[in-house]
Amino acid sequence: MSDKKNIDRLFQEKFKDFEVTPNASVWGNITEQLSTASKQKKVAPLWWKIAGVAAGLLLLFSIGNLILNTNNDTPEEIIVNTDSETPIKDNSSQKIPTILDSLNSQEVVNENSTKEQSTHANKILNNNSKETDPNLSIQKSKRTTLASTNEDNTQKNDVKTSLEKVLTNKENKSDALAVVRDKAEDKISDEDKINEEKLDISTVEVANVTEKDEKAQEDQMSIPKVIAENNESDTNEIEETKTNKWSLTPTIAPVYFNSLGSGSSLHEQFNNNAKTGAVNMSYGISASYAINDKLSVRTGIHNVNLGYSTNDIVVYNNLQTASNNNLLRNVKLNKEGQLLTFISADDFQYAQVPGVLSNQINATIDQDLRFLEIPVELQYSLTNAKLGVSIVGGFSALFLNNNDIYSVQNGKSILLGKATNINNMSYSANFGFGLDYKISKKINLNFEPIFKYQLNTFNNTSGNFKPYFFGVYTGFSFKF
Amino acid sequence: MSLDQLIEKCKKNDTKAQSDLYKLYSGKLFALCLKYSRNKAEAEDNLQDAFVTIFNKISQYKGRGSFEGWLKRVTVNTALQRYRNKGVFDIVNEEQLEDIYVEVENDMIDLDFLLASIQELPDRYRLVFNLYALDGYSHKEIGKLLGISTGTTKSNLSRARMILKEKVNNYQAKLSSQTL
Repeated sequence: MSDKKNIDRLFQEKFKDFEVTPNASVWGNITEQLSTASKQKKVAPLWWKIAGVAAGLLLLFSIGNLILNTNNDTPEEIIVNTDSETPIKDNSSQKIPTILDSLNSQEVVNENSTKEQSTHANKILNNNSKETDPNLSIQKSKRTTLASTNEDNTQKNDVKTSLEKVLTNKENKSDALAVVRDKAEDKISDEDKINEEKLDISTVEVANVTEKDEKAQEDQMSIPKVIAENNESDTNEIEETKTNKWSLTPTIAPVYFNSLGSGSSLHEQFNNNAKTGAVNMSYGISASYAINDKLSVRTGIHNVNLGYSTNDIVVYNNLQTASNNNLLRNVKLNKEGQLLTFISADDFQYAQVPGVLSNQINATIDQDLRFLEIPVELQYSLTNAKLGVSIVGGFSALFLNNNDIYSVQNGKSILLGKATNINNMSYSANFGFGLDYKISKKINLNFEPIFKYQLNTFNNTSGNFKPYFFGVYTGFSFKF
Repeated sequence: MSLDQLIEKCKKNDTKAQSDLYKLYSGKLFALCLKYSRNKAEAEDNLQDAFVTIFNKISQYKGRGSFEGWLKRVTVNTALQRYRNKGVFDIVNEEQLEDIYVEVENDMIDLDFLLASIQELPDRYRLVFNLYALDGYSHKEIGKLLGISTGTTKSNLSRARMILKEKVNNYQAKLSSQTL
């Protein structure tokens, strides 16, 4: 049956119902790929939550920081201005601190006389004006002094030359004062005149005020613009070096609590029972101060929830309110708890127990603790790249906040009471690593797995109960 | 369970539904992969990738057009993906030949032979022949899919047909010599 046909038709007809069952392993591979993909998807929501919390803290913090900053503006500037020893490029500016120093030293030397002088100055002022407040009067005296300086001063030297003069004649008081007079040259207006002697005295006062209150000075004292500008550049430089010193980090961490040894904090009968550590949350804020490039010290305050379960416990109702407390030595039982008896399944002997209880074997005793944690830690950075690595060590003070013990059986939990063997204040030794990713100059993303070994949280534990907790602390740190 | 229900369940990542969908379509799609691949192993890889894409992107199927058509498009695209960025599509040849006819003893031609013939074609000839002759894509669409001009796809198609014709002729000659 020969047939002449288009080659396309031939293939089309033949392949029309072409089906081949693939190898069974293909489906296996597909499900494997799908399940890894879905696992990755499941991880995402947890991160979203954490990111959400972090973003919330970030927002709160930045608002708080804004408010704090506006409050702190003035005092910060004053602090900055007193540190006028930072290197400055410009010639004239180098001289200003020196002048101030020289005036300052004169002031120290002549401390006693200055006092006299100041009272003297006040007197003068009182003569000239009605001012009685000593502070105001000093400022007033400045003004008057400067005013008269203008009148009296015959020197027409510019500021620079007069500054140089002072430098060469540091010990010469009158020259120094002359400089101050020169400085005042520009803004001087006609005011009351005072004779030269009195003027000198009050100028010393002016120098004192110059150092203490730069701001007020700007308005009234009128140091030439050059000086003002230099001071401004000082301020900027100092603020820049300060940029990286302090940082605040709101953190959040999942924390896992358990014991290194096999003891029990509740009673010796549970020493060998399996324990399950619980993963809880810790959150808080820490502040860090960079001592140098490598080393920083930090503290903070964190709320920490810890918990663990003692498994394989048999719980049954007492026939009467019996004194079974000795089976949970370290727990102060409440009324409900007193109606129950707890025995480790390890010690369990049917003869001991009033029947009907064989299915009660799956109970656990859960201990929930909440602490306020105040860590003091040193952080030493190993690399300072975009992704920094550091080691962290230190101590935490733990203040007990909440302490509950539950019996959990078939998903139902009953509050039993409180543990009696937990110190209200205890310590932990901390050690861990830090990874920080520098998002910008001011913001880092931190990731710090830290192990905290609890030193004296529990008394009267039995067996080898060595509690610790481990947290992965995550947060954004803000430098300022 | 209707196909629509099955699709809905697959959109919710129901593993049972995914398995059912696979059972329903893997035969057809594997056949498709075989045509577009050099060999069985490559076809299996393509099928695997295609199904992963299908299950991940199934929510993008909004019920417009046939579902099977959508599955085939995803599969073909997956197969083509393998050849993108491999320089397979670079040859430019505008030469075009006429339609090619071949005389066949229809019943005697084995499907496995035809499949092997397709798989043995140079990559681009195979893809163009499959897309045009077997899966109904136009030259314009093929040009877009492969990033080549329609002139090139036409030329590739002609060359693929030539090669296939020769193979079929040889095969028939061999067969008839055996039967004689």
